[in-house]
Amino acid sequence: MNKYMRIICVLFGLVLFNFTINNAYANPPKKPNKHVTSLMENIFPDEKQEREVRKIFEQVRCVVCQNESINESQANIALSMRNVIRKMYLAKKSEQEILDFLESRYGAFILLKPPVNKVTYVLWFSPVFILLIGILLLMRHLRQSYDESEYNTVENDIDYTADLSVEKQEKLQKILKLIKT
Amino acid sequence: MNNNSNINTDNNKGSKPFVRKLLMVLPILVIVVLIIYFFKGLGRNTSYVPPVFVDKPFPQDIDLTKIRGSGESVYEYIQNNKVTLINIFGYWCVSCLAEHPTMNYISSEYKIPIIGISFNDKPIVNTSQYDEYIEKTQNWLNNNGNPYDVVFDASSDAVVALGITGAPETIIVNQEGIIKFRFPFPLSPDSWKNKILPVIEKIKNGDKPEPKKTNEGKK
Repeated sequence: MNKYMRIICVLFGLVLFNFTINNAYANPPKKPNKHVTSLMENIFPDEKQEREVRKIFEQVRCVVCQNESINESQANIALSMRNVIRKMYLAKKSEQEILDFLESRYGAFILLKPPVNKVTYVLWFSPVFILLIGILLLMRHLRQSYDESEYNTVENDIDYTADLSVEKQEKLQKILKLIKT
Repeated sequence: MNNNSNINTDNNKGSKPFVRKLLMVLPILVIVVLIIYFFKGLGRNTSYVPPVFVDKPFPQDIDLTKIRGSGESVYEYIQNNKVTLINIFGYWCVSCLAEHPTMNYISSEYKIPIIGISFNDKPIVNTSQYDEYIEKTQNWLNNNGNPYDVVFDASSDAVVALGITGAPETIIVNQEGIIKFRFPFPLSPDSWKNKILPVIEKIKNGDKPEPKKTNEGKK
């Protein structure tokens, strides 16, 4: 039991550690202007609109600097895409409509966060699956080693007492009983 | 009882080494497979993503500058011609300059209409910037030859609507206005003969490739 508790504690600690690290990377301290603004870009004068449209930019991968969103990228194609998205936004297209349009032209690759569908099940759920297998294997291993150590003591008892005389065996049983009680 | 338990333990001991050996070999096997997989991945070009927007009708929703003042939209132009090549180029693009002789060769040797979409790499917020872009594109075409029916895509609407990642790119559209093939690299005479021409012949012959015709074309 002690062993299990210790392992659960370690696992919990690892998960917590991972969570905090991930959080630190996912939500870095807000910089005043993360958006690389081209001087020529038509930024919406309305702050709320600008915030909403940048929320869309953040979800779109730049096709040139591939781990950047078009919100951060300085590539020309990113600027082109920002302008097209701004135009669509002003034409009252919803966020989903804009992302669907881009996905239909560039493929799911254009979305920084891959969608959950048949093709990406493996991508999304394999870590959980592998973790479960790991926990199962670990538990089986621990139980086995625990069981084995128990069997070993029993077998040793039999081996040793078999060579003893009847009197000595009785004596031993008495001592064992005393110990147990 | 004792005998029975002994037999049982013996059986367990007999099966365990086999399972253990298997478990011992398994990680090595997994690692070998992974090493092969990762080693193959080392040389892979991850920046190239195959185009998705293929076998789909040419987007009608693009509002482009009309071709050469004829009043035709790109979509109408495509429908009035049988098979159309669409080439994305830019006056600022070096690989476009490199492939341009091939485009000139195609337009003079083969009677295939070519739409040239001029990819704009700069933001345009006022008319003088727009004029500069048009002027530079036209100068570039005057200097290097103009095989195109030019479309000016100053706002990049066409580039994004077609799912283009960069210039140059060559797109083949069939007589029904459906995008049949995309070649997102600079075109060389070799790639024209080996990659583009067979597709065009296939479209013209209704999915029956006739190698004889391509030979005639080459001569």
